Amino acid sequence: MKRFALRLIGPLCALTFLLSACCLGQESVHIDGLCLFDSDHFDESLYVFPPDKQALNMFQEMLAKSGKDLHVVVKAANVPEVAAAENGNERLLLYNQFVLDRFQKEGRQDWRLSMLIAHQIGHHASNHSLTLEPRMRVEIELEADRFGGYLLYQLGATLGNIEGLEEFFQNTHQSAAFPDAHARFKAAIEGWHDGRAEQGGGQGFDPGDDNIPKFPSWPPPQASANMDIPRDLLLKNISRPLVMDAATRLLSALDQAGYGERSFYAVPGGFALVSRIEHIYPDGRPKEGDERWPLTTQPPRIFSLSSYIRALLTSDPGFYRVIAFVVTSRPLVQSGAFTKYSSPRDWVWAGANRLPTTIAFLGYTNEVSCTALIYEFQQVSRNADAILHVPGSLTGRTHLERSSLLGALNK
Amino acid sequence: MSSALPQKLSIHLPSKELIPIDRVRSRLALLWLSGAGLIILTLVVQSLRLVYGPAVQEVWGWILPTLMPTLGMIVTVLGYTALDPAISGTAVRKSFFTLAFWLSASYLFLILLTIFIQPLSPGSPVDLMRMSNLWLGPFQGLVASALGVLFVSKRQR
Repeated sequence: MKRFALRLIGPLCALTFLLSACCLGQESVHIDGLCLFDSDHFDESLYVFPPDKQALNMFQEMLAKSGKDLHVVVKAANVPEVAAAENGNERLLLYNQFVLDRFQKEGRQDWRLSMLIAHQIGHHASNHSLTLEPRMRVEIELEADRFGGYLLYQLGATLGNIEGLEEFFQNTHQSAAFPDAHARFKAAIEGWHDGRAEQGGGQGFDPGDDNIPKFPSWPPPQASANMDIPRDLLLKNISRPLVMDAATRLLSALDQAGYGERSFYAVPGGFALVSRIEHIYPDGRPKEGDERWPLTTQPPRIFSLSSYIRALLTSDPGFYRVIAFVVTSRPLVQSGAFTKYSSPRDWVWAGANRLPTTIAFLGYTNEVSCTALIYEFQQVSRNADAILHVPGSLTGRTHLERSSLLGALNK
Repeated sequence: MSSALPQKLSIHLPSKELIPIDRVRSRLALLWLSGAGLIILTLVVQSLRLVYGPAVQEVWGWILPTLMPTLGMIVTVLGYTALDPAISGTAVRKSFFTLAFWLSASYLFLILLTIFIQPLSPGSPVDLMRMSNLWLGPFQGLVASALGVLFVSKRQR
């Protein structure tokens, strides 16, 4: 009898499983791509189940906090914790029922799991394609981490709560498709500050990206002239622009206007792009050829007897210019601090050659503006130091027109 | 027995190898005043046109000790002799006058060169002037010695 009963256990279990699967609405699904926070591979067959009401409410609440109108299908699944998935045009948020039950029981105070969920919501909020190759994947994962930090702020996380996640990030599985753990942690902190800034509490926050130097002097020294670059000029026909798009456009304009070297710096809420110092005519036109790019203030050129006599008996002042484009979501205030000639001259050598992803993937929202700060220096004589002209003799627009930058941006 | 001391043998140079001291002084004065005048005029124009900017004091601090001791001596001696109605009978060897004249001319030329080469030099004018002290200093000693003999000597012909 006992043996007979033992023989029946196997088939009964199988039958029970099949019946429960049918009852619970389990279905095997195909997905194009997914994110498991530290992996984009799920080796098992993926099964999804209808979500329970409690879980659905919780996810709807979090999706609403994202501030975006998201059309995401929430499903329970046999994923390890929480995953974002993409299946054609359908965007899915998958969760493990057991993990979520525990989360609910703990009063949603597990910031680690909150970060996991917020990260996956970040993929959908940013409309990421989850089928990207690993090289591109790194960028979107950082953006999702940043959004995760932002959403955690909306959910009531303190800075201490976010900072407490450092160990969690350090312990995540490292792979080529996912960013460095430290960069992810920093991105989450920056996202938290973004959330705080959105509510007016984040003034003065420094992004603090380790991969890019901070602007040498912040707030920036008072410029000789400045000009706000119109958004339409900078971001033509881009529906959801990123800070990276603005940087690309500015780099292209600098290239077209002949500025070879430039440097990126981190500034609160964005970045600064600095051009190399150039020798200009008093009317703002750049000097020709190699004379345009001095490392030291230049003696006048002698072409003829008259130019020799002019050089001997006149001071022949030299004019120099440095242009810094500041793209930031914060109000830009220029300090009155005096700037020595050698300081802006060296800006172009001390920055980064490209934007790090933590800044590049910031959204170019309505709060973000791009301002060109023009530092104009004059050396009254060959014995004098070049001094900053504040205010300068020309307007910001004139400088940008005569340097051909405005023309390049208009193209 | 009378003991006679041997007489000092004195051979006079022919007149064509000598030149009156007054003429020497006036020629040297002419050279110095015209050379220094050109230098000072150039520096005044440059200073007024702000060629040296804030370094103008350094420029004048360089030129005044370079020219004024010798010029001062020349003008003083000329003024002193102008008050004396008698013509000095002193003569100077032409060769020494020639030496003094060319030393003076070379010295003034080097000063002018320091100023006029500035537009062609990549360095700062004041640095150039400071550097020129390396050769102008010893040269000034030689010139001052030669002119000192010619302007202060009272030996009769």
